[in-house]
Amino acid sequence: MISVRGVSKRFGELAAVDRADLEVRDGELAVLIGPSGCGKSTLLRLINRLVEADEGQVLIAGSDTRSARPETLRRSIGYVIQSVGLFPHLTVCENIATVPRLHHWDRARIAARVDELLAMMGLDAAYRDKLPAELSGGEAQRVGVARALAADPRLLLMDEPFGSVDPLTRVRLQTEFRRIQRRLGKTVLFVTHDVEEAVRLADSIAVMKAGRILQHASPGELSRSPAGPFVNDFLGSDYGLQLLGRFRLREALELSAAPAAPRVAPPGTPLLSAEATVKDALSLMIASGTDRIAVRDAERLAEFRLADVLRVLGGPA
Amino acid sequence: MSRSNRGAWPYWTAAAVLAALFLLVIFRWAWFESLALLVLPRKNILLPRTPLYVLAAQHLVLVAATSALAMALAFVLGIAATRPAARELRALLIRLSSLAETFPSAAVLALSVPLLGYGFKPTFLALFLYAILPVLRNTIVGIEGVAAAVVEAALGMGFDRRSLLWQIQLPLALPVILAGVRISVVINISAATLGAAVGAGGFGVPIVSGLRSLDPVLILRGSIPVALLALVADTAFRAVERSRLPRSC
Repeated sequence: MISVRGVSKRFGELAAVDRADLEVRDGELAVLIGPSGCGKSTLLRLINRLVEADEGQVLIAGSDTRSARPETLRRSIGYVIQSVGLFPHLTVCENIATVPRLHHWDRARIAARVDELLAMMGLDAAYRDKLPAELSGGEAQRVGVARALAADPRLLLMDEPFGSVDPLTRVRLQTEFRRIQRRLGKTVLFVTHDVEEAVRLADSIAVMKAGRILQHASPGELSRSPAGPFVNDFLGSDYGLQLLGRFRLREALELSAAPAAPRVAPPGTPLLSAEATVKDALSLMIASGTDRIAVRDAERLAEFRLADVLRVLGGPA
Repeated sequence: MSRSNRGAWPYWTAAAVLAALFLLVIFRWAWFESLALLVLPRKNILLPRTPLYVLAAQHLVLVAATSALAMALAFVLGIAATRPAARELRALLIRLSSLAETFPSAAVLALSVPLLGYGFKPTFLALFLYAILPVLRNTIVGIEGVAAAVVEAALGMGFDRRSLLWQIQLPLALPVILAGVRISVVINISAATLGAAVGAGGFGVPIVSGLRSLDPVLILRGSIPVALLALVADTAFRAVERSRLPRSC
């Protein structure tokens, strides 16, 4: 879907992006991660040509981004930024309708699309006529995502889109967004500096430093074979724990090939929902000093053991 | 939309009341004069007087013409100065306008008389130059005050420079620009009285002759309508600033 080939961008003396190569497959959620100033935002902006490359080439769905006017290119790509950038003088409805209007859709089609997106984002119809100033941080981010999805682009570029909301809301937004992204099959390039966020969302993670992409791999592979000490250090010593956060207990129980008859937990064992993650389970085991917990699924109660934690990471992470 | 225009109505009402009072003063000055004469001395009964509605017409034409021209120029210059390619123009305009502000309008008037002679022309020039500044500065400040994230989001979604200006930057800058217009017009209304000193007519005429002949009632004949006119303009513009465009979605 996205093919970045030898792209460089200099600002004066500084090489913000230095001969970067990156391939993002159709439907993949790729995360660009790195410390501040590593060039990840610049690389993102090189793709929709908010920044023009000094050298190299960016292909989207096989065609060079320089083959169309930048405005035309950008209208075909969803874009979400950290401070959201909702237009303060326009209602939620008008904000979401921005790109469809640039495409000259008719009123009825726009209205129907706005309703559809509000429902998808879990915002009820009363939000249509609100102004951005009347929204909470989390609601504004949802509207920002809805606005980026409005004209149904195949590709979304997101620059720390959940960076300015409280941690609880952030996790909820991440989970919802991941679900929507999977369902719609959108390709996403997502910039963050938060390893936990990257691990929670990514199909693949590209680690950047000083304008260069050091390694682009799946979250599991990054932990198994980091491309060098920087990658290892940047991901942090708790990266393994973060990885556990990718797995719901529901999936983990299937992976651990639980015996046909459900293992019944003895009374008094700590309990978690099947929607909690393996990281939550491990944390609970440590906190309550046991090596096993009970997991409540819809109709059954299963047991999850400390040994099962290791089996999870052996799976396709 | 009544919801968003709620804040404008008190101002429209006040503007209408003040406008009615202004018209009453213009066409029924005799009533106010007899009231004033209860406490102030009577003088100069025999001087011929230009009717107030004639002075009002002169004053309004002077203000309307200079303000309209100045606004058009300030608006265009202000927009031009905020284009990304016009950093030098912007610096020049900011420097010129802060320089011009240190100049009293009476001085501009005095300096332009030798060039343009007495009457309408020097007054027009002085008022025109003076009316540009607040609108120009507020246009620049208003457009530049639009949050960088908003501009970034708009460009990222595929706005070109022109639609960015008309659909995003100008609507967001509008309250600031309108405040500049209001200040400019109110200053212009009061500054236009100076024109009487060089023979341009308007409400300054009775003020100037009243000052010469030490006739307080005559001074009031010019200053009360000017004050009312300035208040009408001020409240009407405040009403406009509080009005909202209808929602389109």
